[in-house]
Amino acid sequence: MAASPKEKYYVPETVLSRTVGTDTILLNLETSTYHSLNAVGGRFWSLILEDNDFQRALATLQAEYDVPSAQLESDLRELCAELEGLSLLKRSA
Amino acid sequence: MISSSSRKNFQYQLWHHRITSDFDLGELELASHDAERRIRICRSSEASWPGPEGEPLLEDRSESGEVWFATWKAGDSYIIRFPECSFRIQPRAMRIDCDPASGAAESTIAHLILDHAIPRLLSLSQGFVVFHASAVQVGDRVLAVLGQSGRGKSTLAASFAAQGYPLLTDDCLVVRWEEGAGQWLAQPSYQSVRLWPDSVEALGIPDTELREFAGYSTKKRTGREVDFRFASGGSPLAACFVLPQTTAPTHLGKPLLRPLTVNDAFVALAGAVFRVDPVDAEVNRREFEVLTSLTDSVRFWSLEYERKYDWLPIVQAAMIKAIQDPAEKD
Repeated sequence: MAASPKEKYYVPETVLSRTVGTDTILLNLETSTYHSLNAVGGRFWSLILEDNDFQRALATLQAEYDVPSAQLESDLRELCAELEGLSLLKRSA
Repeated sequence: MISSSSRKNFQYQLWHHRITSDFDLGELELASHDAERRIRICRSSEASWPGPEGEPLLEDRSESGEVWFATWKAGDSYIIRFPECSFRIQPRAMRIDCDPASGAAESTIAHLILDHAIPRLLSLSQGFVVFHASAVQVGDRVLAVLGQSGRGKSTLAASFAAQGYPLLTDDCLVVRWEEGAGQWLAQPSYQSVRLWPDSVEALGIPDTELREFAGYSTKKRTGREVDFRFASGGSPLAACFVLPQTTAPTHLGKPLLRPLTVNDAFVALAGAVFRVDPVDAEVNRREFEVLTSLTDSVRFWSLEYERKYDWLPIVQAAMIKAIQDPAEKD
């Protein structure tokens, strides 16, 4: 899937996250929804927190992990959709 | 003409609070010193309380699916309705109003105040998190057992206590931030254990040392009457053992202990928290900090064992061995 170069995500102010061991635990304060991310998901989360830019986060992860590029992008898009569904992540208009 | 009425007022101490109560809560230690924090428990009519707002915030259902109790927001307070008693919880005033149903047994009211209303009030207070768990002290460590009602938390804790390990609680574990220690410490509860009749028999507790627990339950209370040791101070929580969700036999033979993943540990801990208002952002924020901190510092196992009383010493030995094994978190 071709990605928009301006594809941005942000973490709502009502979402908290903490890293525990290699996992990252997320909480939406308004819905009490918890979610946990593994090490790769947690690294993506920290990159989005820093920079909001999907493509730059993808490029960083491609450099850090030995995973086929298409597979990584597909997995991250799936993760974004899941987190959006739980109101833990929002896509900038 | 001056008319007067007298109402007895009881003074107790529990969980670092002085409790002034219109109700006899005989399980509690009488207040022997002043405490900075206070809780007031008053008898009043629900008709004088603000009405519940909208749909219930929480409903707790029995295994048959019937609602046992429900909570509502009511202004800056909460209403909790049990069939035997209604409560109004006021976290800012640290006050619990209580309106017992006609004919409700005193033991039932005391149980609902001690094991439901006060823990829920504390769960709304800064510096406290309350878990549905039993806990015992082994050396300088506290082991907690997490699981739904009827899964064996109290029996396991009582079996430790019968072997001389100090008991913190059989069902309601209060964890408090201790400024001096700079950490969250598991706190001893009041000196009582509630046990099903078969557990009483297996632990060899005579009838003379049992009291009624609540009018609606066949469980019995015991505590100071038996030769159990009770913990006297707070200690760091070192390990949590999570019992299976089902009461159906899941395992035969030797106890099976499996380390939990971070996610499973967090979910188990979060699922055991006493809550009143699941969407209060401030309480959720405070709770999240504690839960992630404990998930990081405490070791977690799932624990399955054959539900036969003969196995309890072996289960205890397996739990103690698990916490004594070196691990990253020690």
